[in-house]
Amino acid sequence: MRTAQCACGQLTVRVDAEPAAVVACSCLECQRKSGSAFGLGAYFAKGEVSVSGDSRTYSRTASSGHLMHNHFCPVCGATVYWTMDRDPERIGVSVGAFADPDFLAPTRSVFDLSKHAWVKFPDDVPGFSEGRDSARTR
Amino acid sequence: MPSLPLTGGCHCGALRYEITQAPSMIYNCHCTNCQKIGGGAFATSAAIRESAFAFTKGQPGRIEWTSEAGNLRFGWFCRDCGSRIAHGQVESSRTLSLRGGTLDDTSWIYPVGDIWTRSAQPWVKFVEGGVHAERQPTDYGPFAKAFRAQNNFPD
Repeated sequence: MRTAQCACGQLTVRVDAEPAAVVACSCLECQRKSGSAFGLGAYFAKGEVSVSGDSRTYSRTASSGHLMHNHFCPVCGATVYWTMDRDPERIGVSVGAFADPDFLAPTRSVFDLSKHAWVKFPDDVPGFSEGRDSARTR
Repeated sequence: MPSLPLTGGCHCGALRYEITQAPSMIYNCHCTNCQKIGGGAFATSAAIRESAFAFTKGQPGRIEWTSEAGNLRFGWFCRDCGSRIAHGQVESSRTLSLRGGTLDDTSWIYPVGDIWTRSAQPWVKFVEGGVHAERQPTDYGPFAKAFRAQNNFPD
């Protein structure tokens, strides 16, 4: 069992499964949302995840043209999970919210076209210029 | 090369800000709080003067907490999308820690090193040749010196 929570702890996600994928995304939206150089999401099937606590939703159109719905804590602002109209059975959970220094490494990096040059992912992590259907960078 | 003022904002655009003085340093912070706030592996923090920072659009939400180093801190975030913009000290230290990913142009940013490396995700590669601190640095001098050496903001 893994637990992800926001910075103040009122919004939590419990997961009783290993993620199907861990994705590092260097798109500019993920940089803004994370305040960092890339966002990091672990993907699960919806049925594997249980959510408790209050959240607000910010929806935006992803590069795929489909809406993604970011669920964040109204008290501290941290986005803990998101859902995507493109793949409604999946849920993405912020890896940082697990606060687990032994969390799984990324299984792929996407939007490498806007990746900072000083960010280096492990050599065995496949990279893609944009989404996972785009050209390989690594 | 960046030029002043630096501008930035949250994910959804409800909050916008302006910074009129150059940051004193930029580094990556791997503390667990930064991981939770941003959802990523670390935050890219820019140290800026509080007096040089202003919101030009929107009113942020505010949260307070006690840091691992024992300081009472505050954070500003967007109430519409959650993006954390900056942190400061409640008993003002006159310095804000801006979350660098919220700047409009991040292309020039090259962090000078890494702090709180003890809680970093194990696959993360630290900045090559950078300054490191296992926890909160007691002396930020080497970080500021390395940033000045980058000469991003020549006089």
